[in-house]
Amino acid sequence: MPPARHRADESHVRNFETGRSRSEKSCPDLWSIGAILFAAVGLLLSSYAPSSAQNIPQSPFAVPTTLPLPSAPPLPFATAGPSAAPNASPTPPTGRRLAALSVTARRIAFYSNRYVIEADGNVSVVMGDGTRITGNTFSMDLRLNRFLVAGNLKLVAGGTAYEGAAFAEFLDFDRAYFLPILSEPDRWTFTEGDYAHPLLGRQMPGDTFFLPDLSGQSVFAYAKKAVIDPRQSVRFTPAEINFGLTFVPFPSYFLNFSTNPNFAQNSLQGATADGPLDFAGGEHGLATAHLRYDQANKVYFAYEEHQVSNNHYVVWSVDPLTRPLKQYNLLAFDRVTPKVQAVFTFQETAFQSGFSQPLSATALAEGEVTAGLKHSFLQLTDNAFYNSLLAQPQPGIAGLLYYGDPSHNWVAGHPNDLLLSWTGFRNPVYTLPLFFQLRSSFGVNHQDYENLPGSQSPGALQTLGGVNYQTVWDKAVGFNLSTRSLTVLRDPKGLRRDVYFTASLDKQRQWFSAPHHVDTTITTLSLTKLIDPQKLALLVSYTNTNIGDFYGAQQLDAYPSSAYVSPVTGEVFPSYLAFRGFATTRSFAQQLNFTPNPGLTVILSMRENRDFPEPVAGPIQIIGGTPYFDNYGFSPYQATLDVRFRFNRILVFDIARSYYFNFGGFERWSPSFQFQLLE
Amino acid sequence: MRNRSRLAYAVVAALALIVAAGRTHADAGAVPTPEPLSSYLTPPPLSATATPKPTGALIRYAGRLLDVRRGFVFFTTGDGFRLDPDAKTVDAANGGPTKLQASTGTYARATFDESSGDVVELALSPNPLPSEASYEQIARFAVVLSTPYPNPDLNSSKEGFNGEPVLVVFTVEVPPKTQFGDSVYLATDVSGWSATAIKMDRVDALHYRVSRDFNSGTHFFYRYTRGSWSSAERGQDGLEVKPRELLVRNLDVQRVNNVVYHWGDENQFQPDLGQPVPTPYNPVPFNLPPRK
Repeated sequence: MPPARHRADESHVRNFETGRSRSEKSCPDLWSIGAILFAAVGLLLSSYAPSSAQNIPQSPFAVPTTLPLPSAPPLPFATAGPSAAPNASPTPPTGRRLAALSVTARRIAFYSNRYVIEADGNVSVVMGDGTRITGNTFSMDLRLNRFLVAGNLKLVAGGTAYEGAAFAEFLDFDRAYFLPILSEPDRWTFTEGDYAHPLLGRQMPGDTFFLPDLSGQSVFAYAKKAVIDPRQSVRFTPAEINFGLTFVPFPSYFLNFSTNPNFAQNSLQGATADGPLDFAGGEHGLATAHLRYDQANKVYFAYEEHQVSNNHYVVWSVDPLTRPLKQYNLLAFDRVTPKVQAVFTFQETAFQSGFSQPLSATALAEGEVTAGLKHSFLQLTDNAFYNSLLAQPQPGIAGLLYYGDPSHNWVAGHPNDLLLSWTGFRNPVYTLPLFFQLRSSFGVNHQDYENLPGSQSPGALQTLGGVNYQTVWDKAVGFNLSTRSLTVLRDPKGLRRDVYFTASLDKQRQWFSAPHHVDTTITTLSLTKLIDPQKLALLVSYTNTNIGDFYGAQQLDAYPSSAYVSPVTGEVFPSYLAFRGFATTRSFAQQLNFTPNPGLTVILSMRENRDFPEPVAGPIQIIGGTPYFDNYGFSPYQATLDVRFRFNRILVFDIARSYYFNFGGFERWSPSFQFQLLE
Repeated sequence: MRNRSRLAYAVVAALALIVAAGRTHADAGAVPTPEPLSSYLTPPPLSATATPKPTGALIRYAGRLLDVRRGFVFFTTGDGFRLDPDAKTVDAANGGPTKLQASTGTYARATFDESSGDVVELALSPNPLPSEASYEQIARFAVVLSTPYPNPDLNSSKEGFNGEPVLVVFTVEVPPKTQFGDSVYLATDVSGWSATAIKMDRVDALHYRVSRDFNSGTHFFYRYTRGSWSSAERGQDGLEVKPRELLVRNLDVQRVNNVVYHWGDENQFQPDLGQPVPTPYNPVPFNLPPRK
């Protein structure tokens, strides 16, 4: 049986030197009954356990919120003026009057840092009901959802014209505040668009007519016209967008600032740099063009589109649009009922020039349905892998199967995994500072082909004792036992420089119809010393991971004694001669978190590993434009420095790099810096 | 080679411990200095910078203009003041003539004649000006036709928001299987739901924390993620959670404590949370190099 790569990560190495006899006579049927009983007991236990949301004790760091929420709904954002905020105005029904408003002016500027639109010169605002306001200056805070028109103001509403100094509209509350100039100035308030009956002299919020101070702020876009859909979007036409060095004209720019998080769902693969440009959309849709860069594709374009509501989203993309190796992505979510949700993802990777007939096309489809129960949940997951979506080609050179040339080889195979899992809530163990969580699963894995067309090797999922397994059933039970953060050494001076301890034990057994089972035990112990509760913390963690793959009498058939070689250097690792399918990973990690002030964070992480079988340094791989060492097992030593610096109140720069202490003779620094621009 | 690596590793670790030990006598319990006000909130009233002035014939108040029209000057406080027919318009910097227009958005310092309440001089500036009088001192000069009456929307018996910066401390408890090196972020609606908007610091095996300044009255929604929306938090029942809501109160420090029960990309039945790349079934639960 070839030891095919399982995953690109490094967490599967462990050692059970003496643990082979326990499962040799395991009986699948009895184990099935046991798994079901285990799950049933877990259901019962969790049903009778008090709601863990109420019973999880507060951590040493958990301090209750100081004050309860007010009884009346407040303003959505602060009114920074000296007066109290309106407190009892629930959001009124938004009618046509409060629908999209149109603004034209000599110059409209959008300040993306502040989400503020300002317009100057011949300002004209037309609201949804036809109300027209003209003036010198317009200002709107998109997040406060209110606007102001001031200077030489004229209001035309309901067939009547008024002159005044300023007009402010609080859209969330459907209140308009007006400073008319009659024989003398006055203060009027219009409620719910009733311009015929102004409330004369009614007190106004203190900051009603404030203009934001935008000095020092850079303009992201200029335009002549803006159509603003409150709390949703703005379309600027024609738009000039700030690209740093210059403003580039566009026919229009569409800004989506909806609070619906479903607009943030992303179906694109990672990239080193990404510049999105929303160019079309509305309350439920958004179309975005992306200018991207990564190491493999260099500069390229991509396209993504969102269709969303509060309970669903569909996101699809083509990435890259302008390179032959394309990904077609689809991501869909639906909250079917309050306790059931479904997620579907599909990704096709195709090599094609433009949108012509692909020379290769592979795909992965994943479906997941989750049903929340009273104290647990059920999840049905399906993964379908399509090694090729194209028809089998005629044999070509040397009998190979390919499209175009042999570099686009055709691969048969359609593996499919289906898993039904049950996961219980975290429940306290009596009054102890312990929690337990149970889980179980039942799955099936299937491969269409016993022998892959055009290949001499078997296509079955597994070959054992001369038997090809096209279908492998599996079932698993597991539990997790963990502590809360326990204070083991209290600061005698009461300055909270305490020492905390946490522990977690996770154990699982998984049986397969191809006769073997896998035991996994992960034990984690950690200590935290708060050297300075606000600035400096030292964390130490020890993790022991044991994985045993038990084949009983067929152990040596599954794991024959053989050496392994480094795919990079060709070095032979004879210690693998002793590997029989039982491995141990022992990891000792330390982390120093230093936050001298809110603008600077320095994190130094160190990790030492002792593994059996011993780790082997792997080649550099690139995923999402980021290169990394694809090792077999953990590197024995790793140090990572992460520095986070806040440039200003909206921009944080985070940079990190790791050192591997010459692992394998060639791994020193990680292939690249990791950097992020955060808000 | 391995011994040399081990020695180098031990040296770095020892240095880190020495640095940590050196900090043990540092001041404890200090609350970080609040940062500047949040970017998306209305700035505080300019009158907040006013300083009382001894009684005199002239009162000077600085603010920002809304309009100057029909013999009245309007400030962003919403007040209209009568402009003396002989009122001068000058440069605030030197008191001389100015090229600035008394128009919307211009900063101005108005000099009031205390006996008439009229504005006798308007000094203009492109930048904010310090005020010499409080708003209360000049509010009585505002001209308004109608008799003011209370606004029931502004019920002063209820809590209002003073807009002062508040240090908000978010602390989240994460699932016990969260990997030691994982990063946890806050995603908020005001940051466009970027999944990596605010990075949190690990404070122990189960908790992450971050502090930020927000003005009181700030209201926003947020979720916890591990850097992408596929790894966003999920509820105890495995379902996507609704965005959490925060209203910043009139406090010096507001603490927010949350629990994350599951991550969206966690696999309870695989011992690793490393690469979220799905792979077909493999009977070998190890990550092994190729055989000789």
